Amino acid sequence: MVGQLNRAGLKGSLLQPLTSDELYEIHCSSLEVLEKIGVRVDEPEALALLDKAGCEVDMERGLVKIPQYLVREAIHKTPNTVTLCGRSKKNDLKFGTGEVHARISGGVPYIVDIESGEHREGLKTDVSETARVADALDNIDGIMSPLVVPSDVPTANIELHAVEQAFNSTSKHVLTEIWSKERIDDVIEMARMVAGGEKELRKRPIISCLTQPVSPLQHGELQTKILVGFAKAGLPLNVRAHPITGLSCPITIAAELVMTNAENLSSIVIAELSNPGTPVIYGAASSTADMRSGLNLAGAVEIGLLGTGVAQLARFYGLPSTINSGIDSPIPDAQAAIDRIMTMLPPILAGIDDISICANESKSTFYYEQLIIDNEILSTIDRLLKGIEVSDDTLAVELINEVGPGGTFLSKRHTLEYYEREHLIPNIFSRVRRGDWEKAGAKVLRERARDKARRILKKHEPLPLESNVRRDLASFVKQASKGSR
Amino acid sequence: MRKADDQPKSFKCARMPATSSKEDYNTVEKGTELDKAEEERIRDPHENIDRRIKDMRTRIAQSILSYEPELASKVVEEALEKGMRPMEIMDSLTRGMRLVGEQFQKGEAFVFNLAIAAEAMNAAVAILKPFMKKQKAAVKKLGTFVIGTVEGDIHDIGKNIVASMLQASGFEVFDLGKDVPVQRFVNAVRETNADIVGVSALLSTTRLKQKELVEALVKEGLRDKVKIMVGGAVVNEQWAKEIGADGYGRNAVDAVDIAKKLVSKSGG
Repeated sequence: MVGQLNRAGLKGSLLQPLTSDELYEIHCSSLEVLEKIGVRVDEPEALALLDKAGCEVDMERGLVKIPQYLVREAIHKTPNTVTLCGRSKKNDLKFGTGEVHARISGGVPYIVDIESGEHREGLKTDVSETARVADALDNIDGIMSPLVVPSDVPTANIELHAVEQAFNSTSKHVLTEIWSKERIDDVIEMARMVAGGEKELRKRPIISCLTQPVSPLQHGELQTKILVGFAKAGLPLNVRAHPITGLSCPITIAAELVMTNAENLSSIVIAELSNPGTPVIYGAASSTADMRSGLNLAGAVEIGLLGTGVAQLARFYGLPSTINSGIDSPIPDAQAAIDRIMTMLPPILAGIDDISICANESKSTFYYEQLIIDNEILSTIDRLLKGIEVSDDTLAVELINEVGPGGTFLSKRHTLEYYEREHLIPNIFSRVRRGDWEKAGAKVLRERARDKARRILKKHEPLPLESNVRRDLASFVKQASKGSR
Repeated sequence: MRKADDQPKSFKCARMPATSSKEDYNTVEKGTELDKAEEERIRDPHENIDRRIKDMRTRIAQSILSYEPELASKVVEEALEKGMRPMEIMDSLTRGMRLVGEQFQKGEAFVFNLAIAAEAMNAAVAILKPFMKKQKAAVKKLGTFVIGTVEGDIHDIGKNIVASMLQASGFEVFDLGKDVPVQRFVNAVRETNADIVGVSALLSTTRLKQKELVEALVKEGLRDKVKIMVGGAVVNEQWAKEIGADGYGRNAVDAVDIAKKLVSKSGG
């Protein structure tokens, strides 16, 4: 079952750091970048499409200047609401009408073994185990494939195994990442097998794909091929820009928004030219660099702030949006919680539709404990988003009258009826006195989280694939693997 | 907007430190006050040198530390006009660059300081080069370095900073760019007689190409003729060891230090 977070409870207003004038200026600046500076497109099919549509194209250098009207046309073609489906209907995700989703980001190279505590490279078993835990968590709405990079699988075959494991281990929506052009068709074919055919997959997209240009302003060959390939297949696209302040975009956050927006808009132009009406989710993995080392950060507060800008921008265009929430701490400690909150909460309060939950150590190390803690944090955000219900019943003046000065509300029916509606009962957060905490083993949050992860790993069974589908998928993987370098 | 009389902060503009090291020049900036004891401690190994030239040396080194992109070139041009010897100008530039690296290690300068300083250095050296050739001054290069980003990867910002810093530190750098197939690396190593080849990879899927390069160099009989360095966000010490590379640079300054060690080891 997926989470039911919804912004509807924030009835007063959203967090809006940017004024509408400022949003408009960012929008105009992005158009100026696209029209006067342009982007580089390394993929011939997309180049031809852009040329034919009326862009100023330097074919030799692949430089494309996109006129404003093409951007407007592309935005008009995109649907305002997007539905991503799970194998199980109850896991379907609607974007664009107030729902807030949280999904787990993937491609993490290292994992801390839940039993041994060893920090090691990811393995094929980790791909399925992590997906299975995600499947069990109430507030996690989907996964990327693979969550952890399997170092024991030949690089050329990673996507095949990742997608196979994903569909076997969860019935939630799968967002896929592809690293070689041969696998674009393979991944789509595998999804079609599970969905029951090409039309069925279009109708109920149980897979979507991530595509990402390289900042500044470069649409690489592979990523553009993925963009065009998935668009033509009628599948939803998660377009995602990833500039880094001071490195691949100017150091100022406003400029990072301009760069993010320009790159996303150009991706959307390509998508809608490839197949008008392609569902698009406007994404940003935009981050900052710590200039003491040059390292790409994931949990800096500026990233959360940028996320609020992305939320506002996407709503400006009427598009569903997603941003990354990350953690720079190498371990699931107090800093990790702060990194998580500062990159997740502000964008949600500003209207982001989806959070991509990234791993510890700036996306390098996966911790089961962190995932459990994140799931718990999402429960608190769920409660926050439900807001304050104001009605005669909840104002309860009559009840106050009944109880009167000096009375108690403890034995009142009203208390019983409204408790669980008004108050979140946390799962692993501690709310006991010290003595009881010590008696229970004096466990810190991380340990309680690990215990819960262990329980899930022991017990949870995802919705299995039909046996013939499972077989077909496995033989497809075997066959496709043989053909690779 | 910076004003001309802004008091410079540590990372925006550095002061040259006073030093008593024999190989260093007297670097006390004109007008800086020292107490008598400090003055006595500083020995000037070049007592006969014209005071004018001494100040010029300081100004040249200072121009790198000022992190003003155009300044070093201007100062070098002025120094040439004043008749200063190109080798002396080069030494002063190098001193400034070295101090930039030290500042970075101490946490007093950021990565963008390195990038600005390296660019300023390389621009100034470009002005100097023809004059050095004229005087047939031997430009001692530390070594030949071939660098690039692996095939399938078009991330190159980090690699570019490293290339810039290597060049600014005295290496002859052949930058193959990005998305470079293994064979091109191999060919470049052979053609340039490279002392070191440095390979950058940013995606966990492309770092495998670094391993392929090591294997290709072994196959082509070049492995013992060249040192291999690896770098990039998904690379670490463990990976470098695993694939048989000779060095891993954590950042640009680290990479230059390791490169210098590798060339001195091989006696090159």
